[in-house]
Amino acid sequence: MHKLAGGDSRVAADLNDAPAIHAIQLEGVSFGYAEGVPALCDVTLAIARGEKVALLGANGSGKSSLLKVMSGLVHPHSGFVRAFGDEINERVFRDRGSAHRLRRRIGFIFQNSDTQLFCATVREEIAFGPLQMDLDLGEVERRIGDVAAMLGIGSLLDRAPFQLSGGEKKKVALASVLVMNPAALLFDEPTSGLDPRSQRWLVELIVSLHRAGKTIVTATHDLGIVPEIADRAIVMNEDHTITASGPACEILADMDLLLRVNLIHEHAHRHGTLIHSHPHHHGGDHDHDHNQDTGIVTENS
Amino acid sequence: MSLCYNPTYMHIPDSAISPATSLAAVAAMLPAWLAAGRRLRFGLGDRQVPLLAIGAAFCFTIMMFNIPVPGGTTVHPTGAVLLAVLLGPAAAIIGMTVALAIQALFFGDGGVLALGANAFTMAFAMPVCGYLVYRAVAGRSPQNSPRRSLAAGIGAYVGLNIAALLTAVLLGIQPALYHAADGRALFFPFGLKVAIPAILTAHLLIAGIAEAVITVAAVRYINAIGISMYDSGADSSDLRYRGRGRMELLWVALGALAALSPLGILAQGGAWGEWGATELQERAGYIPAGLSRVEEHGWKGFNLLPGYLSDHGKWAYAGAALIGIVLVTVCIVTVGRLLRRGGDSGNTVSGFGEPPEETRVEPGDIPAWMLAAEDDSIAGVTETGRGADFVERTLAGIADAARESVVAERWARRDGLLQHLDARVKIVGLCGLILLTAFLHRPAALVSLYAVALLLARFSRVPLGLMIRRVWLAVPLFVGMVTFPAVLNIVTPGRPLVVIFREPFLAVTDAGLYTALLLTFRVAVAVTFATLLALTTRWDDLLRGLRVLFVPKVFLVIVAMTYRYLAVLLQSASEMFTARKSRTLGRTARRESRRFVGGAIGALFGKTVTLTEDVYAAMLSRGWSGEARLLEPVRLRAADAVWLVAMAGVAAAAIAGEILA
Repeated sequence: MHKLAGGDSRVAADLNDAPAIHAIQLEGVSFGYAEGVPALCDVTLAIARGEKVALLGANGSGKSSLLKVMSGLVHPHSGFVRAFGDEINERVFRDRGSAHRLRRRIGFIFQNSDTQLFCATVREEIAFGPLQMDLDLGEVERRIGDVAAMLGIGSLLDRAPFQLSGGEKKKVALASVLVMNPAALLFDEPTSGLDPRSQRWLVELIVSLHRAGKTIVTATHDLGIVPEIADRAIVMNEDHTITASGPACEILADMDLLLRVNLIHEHAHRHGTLIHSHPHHHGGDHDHDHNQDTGIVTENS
Repeated sequence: MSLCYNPTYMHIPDSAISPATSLAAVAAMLPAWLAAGRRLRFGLGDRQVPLLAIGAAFCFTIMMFNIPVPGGTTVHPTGAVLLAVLLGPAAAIIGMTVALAIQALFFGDGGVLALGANAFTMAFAMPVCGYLVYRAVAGRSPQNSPRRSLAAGIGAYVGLNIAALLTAVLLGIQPALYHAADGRALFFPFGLKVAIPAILTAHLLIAGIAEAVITVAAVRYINAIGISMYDSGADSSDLRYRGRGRMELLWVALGALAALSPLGILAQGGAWGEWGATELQERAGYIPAGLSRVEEHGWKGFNLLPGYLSDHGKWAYAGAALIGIVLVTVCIVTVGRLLRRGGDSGNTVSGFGEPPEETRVEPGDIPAWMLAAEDDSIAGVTETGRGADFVERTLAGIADAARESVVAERWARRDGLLQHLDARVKIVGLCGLILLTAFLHRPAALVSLYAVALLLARFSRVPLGLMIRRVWLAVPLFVGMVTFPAVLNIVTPGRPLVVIFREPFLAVTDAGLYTALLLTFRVAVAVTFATLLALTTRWDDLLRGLRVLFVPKVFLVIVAMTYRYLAVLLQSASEMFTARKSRTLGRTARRESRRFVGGAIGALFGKTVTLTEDVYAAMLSRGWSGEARLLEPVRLRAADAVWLVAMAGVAAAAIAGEILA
């Protein structure tokens, strides 16, 4: 974990180099929506440029709040946030230029596509971001065409968002963010509410965006997609703090940890006459051996 | 469209009032709109856009919640005072204006030109007066006190009735201001004496009470789930300042309305000069009196009705005022009783009995009663009532609105004449023709104009049957209702055609029938053009096209967003009603139904607030900084210019026909 300390010249040099290394840095961040209801408690983390990271945690552990703090949609009560070397706080957003620079760099794909699609037509939806950035109209039109072709939604451009299916809405929401060409993409529960084929499509898109050099942060509790969409996993517990951070495969193998943060559960089921329970998550293959005499279960994952 | 032409509803259609009155109303609304917009800009920052948009969608949606009232009919709330109490009067002014604009533009409810007048009554007078009454009654009581919800109810009752009275006054001054040489009204044909009792009685007796009950129920629900209300957190000095600002605004707007109305008379110079000397004397004595009445008695809160009472002394006004006083008292007593009874809930919704006390259910266990294959404890309620109950009617209304927005797009996507034209040109052309119908009163000119409208529909591949049905099923219902008394000899003297009573003599006269038919036909022609515009234009094009009429961009963004979230909120509302239907058997008591509607509106408001926050975050993350930016419309083509010339030709021909005939 990245620690900052004053005085030391090496650290100061490191801070100056930060833009080159880190997409997002959080230092001692605490945040809450109402008094006495914390959402984040003293969170410190750093996400390197071009990294793909999964934020894991049960419902209410603060994943969404963390994403909102990272993208500057809400501001922490204490602590510092940096994006691509620039500090993010309320003051920065008063200056239109720096606000736009930040908004362009960090794209946020919301869990509920209906909140993200607020314009009259798909075309205007995709145009919204670039128009706010004062991009030239011709350039806006060109980008709309390109991004629509990339995501296969060219035929939907003149439709209204409420006429679209769940999968199409997700694609439009993605297009409306990708059109600004952000360097970092924050996904909040991207696969929720999608059918298996759309989920697959989305996972592959995330992987190819990462290959194209984008920084990817995905908040999810769908453990099945984590090995593909993340190299590193950060685990949040229900006390709104980070309990673990490490290579995704190691985190996923740590059954005790996952059980403790309520990402997996004791699963009771029956094989013939044998009823037993074992830690279980939905998504990956379900594979284990039984010893008929002792009832001991060996998990293979 | 059944929801739009409810008899107790008070949207003024185009052509019922003169263009001059429409313009005066717009002029009166301008300071209110500007002040409300400024208030929101400073009060809420760039957050105003999603707040207003979704607030307006909320208002629109709850106008579809039918409430059963005695007599077997239903009314629906407007939510203007509710919005003012919850989000503040400024938000209510803008939110209601947007809801009315969408109804006028896309649902043919209330005229496009009459938007200013409708906004003045329902988006300005109603929320602001209702809010002032609410503040006066609520005092400094805590947010969740019964007194505060009661205050909201009284505010809603008073606000709605003030709006109804203003509607009646706007319609009632028409015949005095605008009539042809032969004395026949050019627009709305009845004077204040007829309009005020007719419109006000329905609102005092039914709609006002329903609005109050709904507002109280929704405020109570919102308190229960802990959403804070507009003024609950502000300090007292701020409140005083706000209160005074609003009062000044009110006076300015009313003064503007009163001052501008006579301009309408000047605009009708020809008609003025044609009056006989005695008639001029009579009119001159009458009109200023009518205007100064509005000016003098403006808004002095509750003094309004007594003011009319003392000035006129006519039994109609006295009756209306008396009913008002009695009903305010009855309303307060009833709401008070409802509040006290709040604890004992009816068990119509919860058909299941409570689980038996002795068997405690641990988390994860299935209660024993749920394991039984059939539950006999559910009371077997059988279908007793006839016809659809309010849930079906409301569901049908919501389904109608949802279908409307999709079906309308269907014709807009056809390959026809009007579909090929630029939206801006279409708006200018068709609005010009609508304006023209308001000035024509020769039947031949109107019939030719109607023929032009049908021809345009034909070449735009809009089925003629659809056009005719849409207009002629809806228009006579509204216009026919208000014009019906005109056919009788007591209102319009003339040769009797059909004798209804011999003693006392009551008959349909030829002159009366002519007046009523002419008015109905004029409205139908205007509505046909408006329908044509709405049906052949994709609504995003229509919105962008409105910029030629100098509609500000931010307003268009709000309207577009409102329309978009209408779909989301309608879906929520529809799910709520379906869920209720799936859990109830047979018909439910009216009292229970009203409570459900109140709760549902509260729940919908809770969703609205959350949605607003989320949408604002989504806008911010894509660079929103409070300034609206839209895709520019494409450039005009030759065909568009040809269309403008053609429409100008039609207008010229109609005017020529009018003068020559």
